[in-house]
Amino acid sequence: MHESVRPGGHLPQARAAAEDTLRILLAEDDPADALLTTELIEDSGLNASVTRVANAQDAAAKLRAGDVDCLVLDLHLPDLQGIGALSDFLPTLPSTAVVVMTGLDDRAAGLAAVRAGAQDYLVKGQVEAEWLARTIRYAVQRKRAERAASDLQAARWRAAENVRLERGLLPTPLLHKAPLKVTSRYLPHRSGALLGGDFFDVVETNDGVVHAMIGDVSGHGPDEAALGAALRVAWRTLVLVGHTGPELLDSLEQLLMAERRNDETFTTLATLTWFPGDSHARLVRAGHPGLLLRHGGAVKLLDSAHGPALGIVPGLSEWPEARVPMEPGSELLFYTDGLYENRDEDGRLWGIDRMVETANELAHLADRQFIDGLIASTRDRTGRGDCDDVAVLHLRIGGAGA
Amino acid sequence: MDLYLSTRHEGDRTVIEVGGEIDVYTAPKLREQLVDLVNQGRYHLVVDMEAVDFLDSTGLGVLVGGLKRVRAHDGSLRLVCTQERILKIFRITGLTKVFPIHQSVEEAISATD
Repeated sequence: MHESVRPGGHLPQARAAAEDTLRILLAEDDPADALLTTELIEDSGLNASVTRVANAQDAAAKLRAGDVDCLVLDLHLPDLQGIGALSDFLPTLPSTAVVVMTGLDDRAAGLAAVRAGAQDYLVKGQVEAEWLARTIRYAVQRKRAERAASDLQAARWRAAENVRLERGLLPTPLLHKAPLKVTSRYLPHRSGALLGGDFFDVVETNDGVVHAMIGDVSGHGPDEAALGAALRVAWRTLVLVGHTGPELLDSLEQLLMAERRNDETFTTLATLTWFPGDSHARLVRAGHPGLLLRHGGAVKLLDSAHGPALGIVPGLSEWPEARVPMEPGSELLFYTDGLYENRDEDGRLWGIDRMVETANELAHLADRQFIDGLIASTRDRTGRGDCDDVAVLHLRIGGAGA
Repeated sequence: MDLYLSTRHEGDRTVIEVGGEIDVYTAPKLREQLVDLVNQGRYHLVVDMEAVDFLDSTGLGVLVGGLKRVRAHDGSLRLVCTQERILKIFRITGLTKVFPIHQSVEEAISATD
């Protein structure tokens, strides 16, 4: 805010006082002590309004109602059982500083109060006005600094949580000798605060077989992201111990049923198994859209036979295996539905068919330009933001090309 | 865009007309409607999807959840949909295996298991 300064350099006094008035709650049962402390505060020149209560119960009620900057608390209130009751209560005050008043022979109790969360303590009868004012002011400042630090810590934890989830959902491919180049992309949806439930993985097992997978937990939010990470790790584990195809999906569905938070949650997934050198791979899809195949400058949707998403008809699903051509120089694009569920500038949904058309228009581009171009051209153009997360996993067979 | 709902009773069946978008933001409204109907003892539901413009995975989940609720009371949940775009979503995700899908509300109302 810009404030004009009058000749003489003083701000309007009333405004400065209103902004800086400290709201002090004095909890003191002895009327003489209460009067003394109130006078000391007045004498100190501190801009403060003092409210007095005579017991801890009333103090707690006023604190719960809020609007208290500093509690000045007599430790000998009749209903305050020493510091015991206080140590539970003090940490629950988010923005109120606490200064404790003790007797001369009771410094230990003052220190205990500070350990329990009070900002400072004073010894009755040894306090001068200016000292009291400074103690209260510092206590309020310390409390504000503590709060800022804890808000910052919470923001750091949230960011760290996102990083952990991202690592869980979108891992580094585990490849050794396979002639494959893997490229992946992930874009969070419009709220962007937390990852959704899209996940993918690529693993080469000891027998040289390559396994690639993409999945999407329905819904958005921390529960979905955590479930996505659990399913991704389960997929990797099951693949490493030798499971593939429909049998693998059966196990994943059982895990989903056990881990999901509500019975609306389902998961779409496509998983591919390929022995390098073979002309075809085996693909199993559970409610997941077909892969895109780019070969010879054209893009084709592989809309093979498939079964329902995991969790739709638990235990009764059949997931047929489809054959996918794996010619050197060709590419497979796995994606989640967020790639085609946006609207264009006319408000029309992209849909799978138009996404494939767009992919064909970009089919002449090098790998990275092709992937990023396809994602960029199917983003939301209505200004509302993307409606879903997008995950893309691109495999170039033979390792040739861009 | 928003979600529009209107319900009417036809004998022991209840028809829920749904219009607009069923997505992560609007799906709770549909869920609430389905839960309310089941709590009122309406166990045979017909969800008319003809005016639905967009349906995402959260919306699909709400339909699946609704089906489980009515089945717990030996009820039914039928869908009315002729829009190819929406039918495609049902086919891909496998929901065609769990929901009877009808060409018209009349057909859904007169259908018996």
